[in-house]
Amino acid sequence: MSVEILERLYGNIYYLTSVILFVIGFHTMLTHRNLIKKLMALNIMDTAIFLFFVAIGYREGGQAPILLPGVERFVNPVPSALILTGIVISVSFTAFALALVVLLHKHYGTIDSDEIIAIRGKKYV
Amino acid sequence: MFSLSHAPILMVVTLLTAGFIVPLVRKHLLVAKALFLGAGLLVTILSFLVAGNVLENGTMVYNVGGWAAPHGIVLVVDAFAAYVSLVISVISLVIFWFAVFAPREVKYEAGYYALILLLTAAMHGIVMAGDIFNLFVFVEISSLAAVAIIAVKGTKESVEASFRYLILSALGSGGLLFSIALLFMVTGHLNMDFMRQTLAVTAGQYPLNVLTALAFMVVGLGVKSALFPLHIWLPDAHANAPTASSALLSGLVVKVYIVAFIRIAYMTLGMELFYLLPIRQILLVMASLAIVAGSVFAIVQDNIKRLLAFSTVVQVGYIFLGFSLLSARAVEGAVWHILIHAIMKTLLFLAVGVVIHQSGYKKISQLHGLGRRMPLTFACITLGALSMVGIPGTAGFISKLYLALGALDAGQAIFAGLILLSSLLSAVYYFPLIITAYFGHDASPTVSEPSIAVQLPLVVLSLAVLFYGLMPSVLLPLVRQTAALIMR
Repeated sequence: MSVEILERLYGNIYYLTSVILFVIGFHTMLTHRNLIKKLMALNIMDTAIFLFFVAIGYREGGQAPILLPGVERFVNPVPSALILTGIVISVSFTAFALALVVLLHKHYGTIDSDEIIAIRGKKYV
Repeated sequence: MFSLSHAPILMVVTLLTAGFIVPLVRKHLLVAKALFLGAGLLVTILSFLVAGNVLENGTMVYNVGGWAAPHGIVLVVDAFAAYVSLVISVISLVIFWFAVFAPREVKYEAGYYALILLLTAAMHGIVMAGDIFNLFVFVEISSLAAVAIIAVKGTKESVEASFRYLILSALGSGGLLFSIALLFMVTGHLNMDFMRQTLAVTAGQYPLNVLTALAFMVVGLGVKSALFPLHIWLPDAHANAPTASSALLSGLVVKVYIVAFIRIAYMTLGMELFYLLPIRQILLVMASLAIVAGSVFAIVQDNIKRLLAFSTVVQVGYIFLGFSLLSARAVEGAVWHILIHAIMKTLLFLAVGVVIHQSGYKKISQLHGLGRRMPLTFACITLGALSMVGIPGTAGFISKLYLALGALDAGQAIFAGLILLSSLLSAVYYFPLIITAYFGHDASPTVSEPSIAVQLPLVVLSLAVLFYGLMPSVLLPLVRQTAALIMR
């Protein structure tokens, strides 16, 4: 029984890894107060999703989808192409967020989210 | 004769191109302003033509680059898309006008116009996208631009609010992309039409994928559209943005994400899912919580813009309530509310922005007697507030009526009661604004009305509130078709 579970996990190793990465990113983002660390966590989460997406199109031993004699198995190119766009989006998000962190540091003198909230005087409702 | 078949893509392209040209001519501000307004006007005309064409000839499909689906990218303009993009273009044109003529609030005006243009282009794109990945790309453009038009104000509060918005928005994007990956896994398609057809066969084989995808999507788009427990970014973000941005964000942007949700959840995954999964109950509970809790939070606000922001949380609840009640009239009510809330909230945010700028007062308790100094502006605010409460004769009454009737149709009378309760609550938080403004001791005589160009958008929107309150039949065919499409 447990061998079967292990085999299934191994068969889905890419998906498994991406879910673990996603959870690491999500957890770090929620628990860390440093804004830069939050952004790094965000990037880990994004990477997890990219891995997941690319893994959908992957086939064991697959080649790039160029029609050459003797090449039989192809990797699905669509997810890879999409993730290229996804990476660009993630880069622009990160760049913009870092610019905002610089501004925050200028205004508040800190990049610790709790301290910023303390300086602002909190009113969440 | 000019062929209308290219009009949908032209709407997006015009706004995007203008968005890139405007910062280039920033040295000649007059040219930049003219380009900005011209692009808005052109897109409004195109959206009217497209809406007319869709009503007459049915759904328009545009193959980008001539490649047909499933291999190419398509824009699909059905009644829903035509209706929402009509709303977006008209309301955004009014806001464009305000942004150009209102007193300056941001440092780099040309850059601000460019961001607004990008945001509007992305909104049209979300509405018309025929495949799910382009929808995602447009969602990302609009998220980034939406954060940027808050941050441009440059104050301490606005930077903090926009950073929080950015982080949560990025989290939402992650959820959305994950759900797209899961759906792509099951269907092998990105085109929403093909996805729907494939899902009819494969959804039963991979129920876990579809379930997880739906969960990620509710969270992802829920964060972006500020559905109740996920709304925490909204009050700060909308209250600390420049006036034109607040109006744009509250009136249009949150609703576009609802449209994206409806497109994927209702029109791609299909209604059958709603009878298998408890998703409808979850949405109903979240929407009801939004209506009650949003009203309670709004009551305790003294800052006018925060009050309006919490009112937006309530209205998002209304729209979700209508869509999840799943009776024809409730869905029609929700579709109506997309337009009517856009008009009312834009009117209120612009008018309040004018008041804050002219008087320097940001709190309701400071408004004593200002209504006598700024009669026209406060007449507009009063009309907007009455419409928010849902007084008959104003536009707000129409959508609330449809929602309440829809709740009765669905056999859920308790939600009709909820709408009534919420109307009373909204009277509790909107009337102090009006009462303090007209009564109480006299305001300082230095406060005066702004120029006519600034008042024009307020008057136009007020007339629209009255117009749709008294003659809702003008847009009814489009609303009916949209509701029928969603309930398909």
